[in-house]
Amino acid sequence: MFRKIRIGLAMIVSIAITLLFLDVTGSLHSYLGWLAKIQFWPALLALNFGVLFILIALTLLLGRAYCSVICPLGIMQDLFSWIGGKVKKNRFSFSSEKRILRYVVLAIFVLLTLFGFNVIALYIEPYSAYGRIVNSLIQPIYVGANNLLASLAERVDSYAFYEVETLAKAIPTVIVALITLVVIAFLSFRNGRTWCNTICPVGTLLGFLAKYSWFKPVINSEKCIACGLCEKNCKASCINAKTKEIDYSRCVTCMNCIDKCKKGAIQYIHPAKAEKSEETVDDARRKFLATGAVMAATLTVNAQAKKVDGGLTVIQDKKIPERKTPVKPAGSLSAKNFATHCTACQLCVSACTNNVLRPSTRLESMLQPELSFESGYCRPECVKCSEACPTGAIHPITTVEKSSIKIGKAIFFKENCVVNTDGVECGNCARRCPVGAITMIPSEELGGRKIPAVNTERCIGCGACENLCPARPFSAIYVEGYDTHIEA
Amino acid sequence: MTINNKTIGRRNFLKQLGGGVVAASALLSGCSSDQSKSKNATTSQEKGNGKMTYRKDVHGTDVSLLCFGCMRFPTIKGESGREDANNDLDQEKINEMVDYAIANGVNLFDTSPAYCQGRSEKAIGIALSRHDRSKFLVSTKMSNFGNFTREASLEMYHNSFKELQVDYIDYYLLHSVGGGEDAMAYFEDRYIKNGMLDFLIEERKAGRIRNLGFSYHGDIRIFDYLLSRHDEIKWDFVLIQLNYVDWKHAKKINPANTNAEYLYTEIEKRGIPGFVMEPLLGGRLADLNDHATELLKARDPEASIASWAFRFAGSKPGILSVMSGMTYLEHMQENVKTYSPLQPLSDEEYELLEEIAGIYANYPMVPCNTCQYCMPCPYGIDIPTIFTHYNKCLNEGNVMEDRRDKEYREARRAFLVGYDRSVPKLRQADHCIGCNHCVPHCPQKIDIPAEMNRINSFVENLKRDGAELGCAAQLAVLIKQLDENNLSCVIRNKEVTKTFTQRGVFDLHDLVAKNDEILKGGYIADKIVGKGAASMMVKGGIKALRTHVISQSALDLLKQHNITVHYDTVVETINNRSNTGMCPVETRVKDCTTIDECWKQIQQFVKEQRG
Repeated sequence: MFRKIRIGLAMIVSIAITLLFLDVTGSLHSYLGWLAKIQFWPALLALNFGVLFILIALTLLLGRAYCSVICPLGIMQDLFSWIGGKVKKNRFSFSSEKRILRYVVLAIFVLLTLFGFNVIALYIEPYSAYGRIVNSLIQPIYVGANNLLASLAERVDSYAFYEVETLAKAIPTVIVALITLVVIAFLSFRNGRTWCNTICPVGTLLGFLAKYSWFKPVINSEKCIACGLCEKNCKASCINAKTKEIDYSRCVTCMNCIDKCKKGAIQYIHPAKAEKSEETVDDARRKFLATGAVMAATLTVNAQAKKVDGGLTVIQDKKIPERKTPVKPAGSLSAKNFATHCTACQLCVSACTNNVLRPSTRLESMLQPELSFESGYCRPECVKCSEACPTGAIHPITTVEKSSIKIGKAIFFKENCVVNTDGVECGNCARRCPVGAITMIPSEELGGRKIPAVNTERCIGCGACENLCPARPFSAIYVEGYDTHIEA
Repeated sequence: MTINNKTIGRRNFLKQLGGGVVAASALLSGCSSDQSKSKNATTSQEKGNGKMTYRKDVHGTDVSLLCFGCMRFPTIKGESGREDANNDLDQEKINEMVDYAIANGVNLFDTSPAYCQGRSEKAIGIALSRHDRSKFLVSTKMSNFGNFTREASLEMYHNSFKELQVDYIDYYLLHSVGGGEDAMAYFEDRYIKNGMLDFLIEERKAGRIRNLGFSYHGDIRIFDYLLSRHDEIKWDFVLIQLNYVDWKHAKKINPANTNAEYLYTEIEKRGIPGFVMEPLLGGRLADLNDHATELLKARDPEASIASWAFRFAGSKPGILSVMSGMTYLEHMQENVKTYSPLQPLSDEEYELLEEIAGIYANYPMVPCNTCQYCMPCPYGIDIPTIFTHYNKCLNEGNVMEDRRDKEYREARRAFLVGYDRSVPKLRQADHCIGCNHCVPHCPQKIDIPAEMNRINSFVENLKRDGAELGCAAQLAVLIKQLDENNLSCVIRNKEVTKTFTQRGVFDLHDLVAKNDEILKGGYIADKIVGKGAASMMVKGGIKALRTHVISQSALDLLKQHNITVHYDTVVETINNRSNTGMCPVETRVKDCTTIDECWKQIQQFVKEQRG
């Protein structure tokens, strides 16, 4: 029964989280956004104490249920493991804990995060790893299906589905996601939760707590006939059937053993009668508190010869200008805050309906998102990324704040401007600037035609000017990011 | 393309139509215009029955009332060749349609060297070469818009014979006179200075042109001028824009146009037969709003909405032929049906259409007929499609600004989703830079950049969907609204916006006098702000101001009261309207030191002014 509840919940949660990452309409976040916020590591980075308290309490009560029903990467591994089980039954066996490896990985992970090298640590953070897999590998398929439906809907004049444009996925993100997927799929297909019980920092951390959980699967040595069926079906390899012991730091309370045991010798209860584990309480608690303390501290378009009757000018694609300082989303406070909190889960990238956010390919911020404006600009009324972010890398902001936070400034480049190259009047940047930061000034050099002047006091760096500038492939006006965001 | 594929084209055509209709082609000649008025007309529901209505031109030639306009030939992708430049025209389909037309009594085919991006003449030439020259009349034009040297114009003229594979042209037109920024100068450049008009008159004498005429859009002076030379030139026909909306309401649809009633009367009284273009007003009269549709359907549930417009155009006895650009065989079948034979409108029906025209004229549609002359836009904007989408939404009631309206959400979705569907993001109105390249090419004289701005502002509002924005963003919206609508002042406070058009301080005075809530914490956009207006803004308690011009004293006063001010220019003093001295309000408040002193002075001023 417990197993069925676990599977049911896990399915609901994993489907919902996956949809959250797939959603291209921006409408699911208001319903499902909380699923990202209750992920352990993001909540820790965001210092979301309410969530942390609940997750710790949950683990102290039920064991590592988090790993079985909340963590999407864990659930994904169960899926691969289940497939593996179809191929070969009773395939697991007990293995002793790789304690040194676990602790070393955890320590490195925590230290990297603490000292601001989050950008390296994030590769093994479970929730973001899952986010990257869905966003880079599955979303393109999902978008394709949506657009197919949209074209069908268009034929019958329905507005139920509409076509969405998405940015092409950045190659580094796809490669990282693919490697993560292959490694995890391989490990879980063969050995179940190997990754969770050796590498995953969240697994190790919750393992400390799970040892002292109130409820846990307990082997009744009187009923147990040491048949070993439980051990052979323990994907965490944490049941030693010979000694009739379970390593609770690795048990993810999947309840498979309870279902498998033909004698009913395993029960999910409070181990009042159970023997004490080897480690003393004091030792373990000290370790936990120490770790806890560490953590709490943390176109030019060529005017072509005119035909008389119709036709469309070919539009050159825009190219990304070289920005000295990358532009980070409003709400991220500063480059530092963003770098140290973002786990590159790509949820904000999924949420960005204006095709502005994309994972960075810079070495110092690899995979962490940044803004660019070839396909759209950061619209003043949109705060979707700030609502989506579970780690506090982007703080929630209102539309009023959004339209007055300066995330960068526009810089004009006369050489590219169509007023200069095509000899026409333009002023589109000034006309479309959402905050009226651009004024058109007559240029003597250009025969009195007007060119833009940017009021950097007022400019918020939204990129409307860059996006709507007719000059191609490089816009005549582009945005440089600010390291620290201030209100205009 | 299947160029000489007579047999296959014909076989396909036979397959599609069956023998019955083909047999009817035997009846196609010999009907006179008298028959069009005969009372024993069969009902319009019947398919083309060989009873096409004919009218006689000045030489007594029978011309079918329906003319096959060749500017919207299909491409192999089934799109209209007018827009679709990437795909070849579907010659087989074109042959099929031409065969159907001739079999059903249509004998006039109208093209131009410019149509379908220069591919129309060749395609219709191929299709017609498969028929006996006596079976069809062909019309083409001198479309020398871009290059009007004599050499280029002559080349265009001679090329038409080659493309159409004929040795005489039945109807030849000066194409779209009345356009250009200076219509008269443009006309002279195209036809007088290069001697082309004289040349064409000579060609008519030589028999290579059977009928000479012109097509007219825009500047009425050109129309009057050309008719005034009728005695000398002897126009054989004139092509005018005529439909039941343009009949009496042309100005309302488009201030640059002239009522079709005038155009028609002018040619009729000189005995010049008329050709009609835009019988459907660029297709817009084929799809009316619900109310108008209901009225027409109540009268005749079987008749299509478009058929009413065709009957209107055809019912004028001075009209020789009505041109309709057709892409699909279905269009052709439907139009053939309407004119086989024509059932002239009764007086009652005229009245009904006049009522519909009245409804239509009060709809703020963009008067675009999707003629594509504005295209291609050098910056890639898809001008006609943007207008079409906007008009369609207007028609379907999906242009809605009031967020409190029950149907707002649905209308918003339909507009925005439909916008992205019909126009790629890169070709939408917000990319229009206002270079004005398109403006002189629009026969309807639409101020395209201004319309683009207007539509984009509407789209921006929909996208923002009432979101509360920061100070600078709020002010930017207001000043845009002020400039685009030529207002004197705009005030916004939360969801409420008030706009003013009066000059001077009166509006602001009245708001302050009645202690209006909108000022408290409101955002305001103005053109010129002096100390007097500034003092009232302080008194009213506004939060921020955006203005084009501000006086130094006003700026100081507002800053002193911690009001955010965004401005373009600061001036020492503000002058009166005749620029002979200081503005009277400014003179009065010049020496006031407090807000209340200013207020007293302004009150007195307003009282005196209102007498």
